[in-house]
Amino acid sequence: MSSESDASVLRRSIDQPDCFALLFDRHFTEVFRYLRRRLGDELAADLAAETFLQAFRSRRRFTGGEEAVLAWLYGIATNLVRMNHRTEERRLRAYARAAAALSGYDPAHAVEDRLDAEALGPALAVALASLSPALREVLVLHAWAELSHDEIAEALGCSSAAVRARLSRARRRLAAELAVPITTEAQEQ
Amino acid sequence: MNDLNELLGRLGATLDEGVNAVAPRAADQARAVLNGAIHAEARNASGGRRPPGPSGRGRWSGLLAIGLTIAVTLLVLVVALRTGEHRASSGASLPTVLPFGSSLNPSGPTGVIPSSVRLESVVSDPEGSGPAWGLKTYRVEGDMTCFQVGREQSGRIGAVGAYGSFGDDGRFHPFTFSDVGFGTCVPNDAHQHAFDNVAYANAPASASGEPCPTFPNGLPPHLPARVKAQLASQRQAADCEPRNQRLVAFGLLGPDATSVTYRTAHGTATTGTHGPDGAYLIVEPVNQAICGTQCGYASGGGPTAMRLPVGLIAKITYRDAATCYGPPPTQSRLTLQRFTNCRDVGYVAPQHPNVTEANVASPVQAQPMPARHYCIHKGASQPDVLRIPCDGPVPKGYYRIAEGAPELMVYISWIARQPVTNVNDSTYSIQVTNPSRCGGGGQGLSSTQSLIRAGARITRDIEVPGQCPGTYQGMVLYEPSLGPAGQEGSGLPEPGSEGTYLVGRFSIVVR
Repeated sequence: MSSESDASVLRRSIDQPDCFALLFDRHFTEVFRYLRRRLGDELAADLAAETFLQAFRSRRRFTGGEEAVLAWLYGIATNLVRMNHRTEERRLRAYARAAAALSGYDPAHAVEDRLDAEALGPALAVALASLSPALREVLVLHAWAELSHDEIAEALGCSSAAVRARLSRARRRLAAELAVPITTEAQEQ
Repeated sequence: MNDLNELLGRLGATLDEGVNAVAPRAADQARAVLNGAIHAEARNASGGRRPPGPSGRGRWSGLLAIGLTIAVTLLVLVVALRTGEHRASSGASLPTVLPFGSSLNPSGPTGVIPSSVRLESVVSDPEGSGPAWGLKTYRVEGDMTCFQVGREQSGRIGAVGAYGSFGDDGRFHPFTFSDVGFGTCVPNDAHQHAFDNVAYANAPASASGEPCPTFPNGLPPHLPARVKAQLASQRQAADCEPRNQRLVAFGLLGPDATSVTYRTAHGTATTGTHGPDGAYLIVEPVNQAICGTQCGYASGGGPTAMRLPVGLIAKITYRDAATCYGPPPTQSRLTLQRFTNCRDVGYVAPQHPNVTEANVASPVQAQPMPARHYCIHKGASQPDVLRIPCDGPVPKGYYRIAEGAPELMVYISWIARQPVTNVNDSTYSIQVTNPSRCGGGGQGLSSTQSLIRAGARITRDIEVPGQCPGTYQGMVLYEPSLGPAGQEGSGLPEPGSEGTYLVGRFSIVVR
């Protein structure tokens, strides 16, 4: 695979549109996986295609830094997810119901049971669904897309401080919803 | 002990089940779509002519004739609106939903209300090391209150260059209004008071960065390598050595709270609340006797008194209301447990109007903006920045997007009869269904991300594929939040009903 940076490829694709396919090859799988986690097969396939189409058509407007292309793609994908946040919430709740049925999970079980990470899956899905879209998206961009605070800020078009504040709120709300001890991740700066 | 990223990672892995089976097909589908666009543009570029799509003026002459024009010259309107980074399509400069920014000027576009800035509480460092700790609150536009927590010097809140932070430069590094330190921003209640409670059992003594990661049993095995490396690195930093951590708890208990009694290594201590929001700040050494089972947990708390961190807070007293007693740290393994005997004293729920389709309905206008060239504001970084046609001279402050825009740009305009505020956390969205000959299917094209005043005219740009003639049906929707911004499920009153409300429909004919 070429070692040329994403930003360089993107710039080159302005005059050589074919080059954009290299970005597709590099990043489609992870963008699709991210969308699929949030919205399921069908919508993820459509929105992944739409993400790269929008990115291609707006590539001249990209003003980010050398390392910002992937965050930019996630930003486009996240904007598309935002239009479907109720679908996402339904999906998470449906997953929780299905997982609970399979595992016999009962929210009323003793706290000790809930401390088991596996048992927390359904509850976590419900808790995620209960977050506002704005909080949920920073959380999953951080945890699933593995973006740093700055990259999330780039993706969402807001300040890094806003990302930190939202992450903090999202974590505390999840912890409160789950009612279990939770540690948070280190700052990625 | 559960690491949130580990839990989310496991949930993600579960949701990934079967991804390898479906990803290739999705990739093929997406590649075909992308290749179509690439080849169309390449063909057009090599032919040295404009794409035969709807960007051509001729294509739209009929459309203009059938009444899809709007009465005002949107170009003038749009240029007038494009005056700030935080444009809200409302004709006024409004902050974004979370009103942070990079400006240090409190009267700048961050929306900080200067007269509201208050240094509420200052307490000494429990180890007597460095400047005191402080809690500052300030109101921001959009009915929110932010509070900054960190080291205090001359009335400013910040971090110190010590304990390995800032290269141990020994200097004070003040925060800007956009950096709340360990604090956060929360929506106000109906009486403009804020409520929140936060506790960090492992805050870096420098007050820089986020709480330290603590894993008594070692790093969780399933973390991504990148995260593991970062965690390991941070744990080894001097700032995160146990002796360089603090237990920092703070919050806003409302106007009726008078005092907070908390546990210390030697018993209990009581501090009065401060200011109109009942602010308190506690900084103690990390000590098992204080934080109990919370030691090692990054944070706890919640927006209401019912979510106070267990263990630390022993008692809260109020004017004319029952005292709230917290359970001892030995009572529960939970970090967070609702104080069943505590209520949100003084909290007044925001009034959320009953949203119906009748009171969101508005005519929606679709104005195609065919042009050979489009321009965008130089400061544009938000996804909702309006582009403008600019076949002539480039307006001041704008730059021209490179030639060859393959899409048809359309301005969608409507009256926002319901506001978008930090409290209702709602959005307006635009969705379009493609003509059946173009494969049908709908797509969400845009959603508002800014505060909007009721009655404001909103204008957004969307792009529809120009290659496929036909009638594109669209609609504008209003989607209220399920609760005060981000507080769904917190126990606060829920506004309105869940649902999506139709504002209006529009159609775009591509010939």
